Amino acid sequence: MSKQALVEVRGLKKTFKRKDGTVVEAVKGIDLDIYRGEVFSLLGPNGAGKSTTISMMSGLLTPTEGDACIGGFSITNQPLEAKKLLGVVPQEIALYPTLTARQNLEFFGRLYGLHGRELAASVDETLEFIDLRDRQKDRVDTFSGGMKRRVNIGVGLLHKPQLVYMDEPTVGVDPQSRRRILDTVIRLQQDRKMTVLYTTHLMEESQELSNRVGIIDHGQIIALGTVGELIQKVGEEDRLVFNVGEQPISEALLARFQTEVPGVTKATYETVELKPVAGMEESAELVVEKRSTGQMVVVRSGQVKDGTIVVYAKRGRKALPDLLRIANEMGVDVLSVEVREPDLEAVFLHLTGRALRD
Amino acid sequence: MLRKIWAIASINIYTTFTDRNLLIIMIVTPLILATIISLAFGNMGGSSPITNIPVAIVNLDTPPVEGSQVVDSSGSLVSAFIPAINEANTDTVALGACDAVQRADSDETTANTYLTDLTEATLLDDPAAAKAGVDQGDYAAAVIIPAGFSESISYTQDDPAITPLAIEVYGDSAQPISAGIIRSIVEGFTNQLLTGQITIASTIGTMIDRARQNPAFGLGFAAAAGNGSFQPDFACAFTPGFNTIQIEQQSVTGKQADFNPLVVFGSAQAVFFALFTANGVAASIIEERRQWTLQRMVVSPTPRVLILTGKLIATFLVVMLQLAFLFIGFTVIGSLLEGEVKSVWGNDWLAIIGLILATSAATAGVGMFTAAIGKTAEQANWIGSIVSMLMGILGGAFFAVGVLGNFEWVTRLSVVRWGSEGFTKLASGQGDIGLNLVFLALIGMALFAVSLTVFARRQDI
Repeated sequence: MSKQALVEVRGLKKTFKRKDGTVVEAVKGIDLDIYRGEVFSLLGPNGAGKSTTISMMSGLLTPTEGDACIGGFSITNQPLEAKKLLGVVPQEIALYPTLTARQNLEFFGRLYGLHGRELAASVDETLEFIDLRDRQKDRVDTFSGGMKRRVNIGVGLLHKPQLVYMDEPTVGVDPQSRRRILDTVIRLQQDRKMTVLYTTHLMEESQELSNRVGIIDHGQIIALGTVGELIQKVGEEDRLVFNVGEQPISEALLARFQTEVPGVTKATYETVELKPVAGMEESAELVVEKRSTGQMVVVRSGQVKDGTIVVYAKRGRKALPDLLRIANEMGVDVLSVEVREPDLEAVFLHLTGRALRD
Repeated sequence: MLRKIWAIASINIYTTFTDRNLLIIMIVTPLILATIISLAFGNMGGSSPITNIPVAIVNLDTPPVEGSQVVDSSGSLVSAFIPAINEANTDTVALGACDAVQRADSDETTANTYLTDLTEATLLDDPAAAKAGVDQGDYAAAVIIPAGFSESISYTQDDPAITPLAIEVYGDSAQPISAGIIRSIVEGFTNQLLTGQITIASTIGTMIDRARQNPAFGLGFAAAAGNGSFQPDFACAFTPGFNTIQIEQQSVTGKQADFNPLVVFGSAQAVFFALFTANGVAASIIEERRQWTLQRMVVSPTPRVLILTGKLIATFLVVMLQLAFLFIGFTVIGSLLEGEVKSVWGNDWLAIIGLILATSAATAGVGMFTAAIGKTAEQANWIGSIVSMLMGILGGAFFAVGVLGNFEWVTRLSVVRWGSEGFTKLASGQGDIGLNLVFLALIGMALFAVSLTVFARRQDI
């Protein structure tokens, strides 16, 4: 892949004024290059500034400061030239529900300057690509969520842009449709040689699709690189998470983990106050939401806190027997263990101290 | 560029006219409502004549002294409206041979009989009181005959020059058709008087010329006048209803045939419902923002001003098509009720088209404006509904605006009134819709401009 930048973002900033007069910095100055032919993911939790950034880069919002150039055309000063190179797939289903799939494609095609035979051919090709040729004359409001998403993507591809922005295109779709959308992105890059800017808060999608990833949090890019490069930032360490419930944990245990087990670089202990899930306060067993995974778990009745030991180790699975032995020697009853191999979630956690879904 | 504007406009027109529920509200409802209201008001087919137009007569003129050469013209005019006065003054207006001819010709249904059916005249002394009565809606018009009127238009030996004083017809703008009828009657009458005076002047002039050329004729004429054998009867020239009033009668009948409640309420309902439509189409800008199709347009290589222009054109065209369909619908209903195919809107097609365009511009402008001041689609819809309802009520969509009396001017704030009035005028054969056209077009353009500015400033597009 050549390293020629198709998109150059410099000092992009957006501030909003609230009704009470306070100023909110949604995007705090982003610098970014997206290379031709790559799939670039903007990964971040909800509210991190992904959509605001993409809105500025597509000319929907005017930046407070900075600029983005697409193919050398400034989105603020030469918006029409820049927009010709760009296809946008918004997070929302931006379609006319009472029109057919074909009518929607034809209408938006006209706005990209297509007409006559060229428009008809483009619509046919797009319907083929999104696999909706047989449903082209059906109204969009009769479609399933996944089919609507496909038409939504089709509109962004109609004029064969060099660059496609896809803003969380898998939000609210079933697993089958999600798989189909991810495959579509892969085909766009491989078959059509398109450059894709893909925003998501799902680490798995980012990891599967992207040549490079930019991790965004609180309106700033906090890490940028290939998935491998980012994982290296957390030292390629596995995380071993020991659930120990309410048992008291001594500093001595943590010290033994770090000194006696080869490969262990760090061991921490943290407790979480347990609060019953709303609506289940009267239950005999305490039902809580596990902060790290978002899962509902049942703990012992009367338990008020949950303790977790997190151990960072180069080869986690190899270190596990020694860690369990030491815990046993120190009288700690390990309730459960999870071994987490390094991923973008770990990178985000490492950089921000928070999980992506938080 | 034009292709993109048309694409945006046409998608709105298409989505509007393919929505069955919307079509029922836009087309079917006003057709049914206006027909019901018109039937309730009667006179549907225009077969029933206008009768008993209330008119105030003020005669400030004094009757000529006996033996004077001055003809009692004012008395004749008053007697045209109030036959009792005529009978009381038979000594001042001798109908002579004309009376016989008239009775033989027209049986009992004379022009005066017709006028007494047509009008309900009240004789007043004070012009101010008469005008106040008109302002209050008690009279459709006041006819004020100035002092010295008869003398001013009489040809006499002492004063052969005719310098007519003007008769004032003070009309109620809320009853334009009735006031117009009264004005026509008075004009016809005064024309008749002048014709009579010209007849006398030319007859006497001819006799004088002949006497100069032939002194024997002059002496004979003088002898005949002296012994009473020469008795010219000029009364025919002044007889109200004998000639001109009959012509006026035909004119009035023509107007009656064109007057139709279906036109008045139909046009008002059409403009009223067009306001709702305009608001709905314009508010789609906000609705499309919510469903993200607007943003999708913005991220395409289409300048924002083209998107707004497309929306403006869509609003205008949707309203124009709605009005056109409604007027065709009302024509069909009118024809069915009358049992013959006829245009209830008159036959001045150019003016009808012009007025539809101007009304479309005004209603679309109002719709755009109410949509522009609403921050959400819901807000825009309820603001639009309130404005439309107010304009409909004020504009005569549900009752005749004349009932507002002194507050009739308020109705001028409504585009429904301006539009409906224009169509009513065209239907009754009057072509003076210039003011309506200008007002509607200007209000449309002004509100379009304001809406454009508001939308642009709020960055809705």
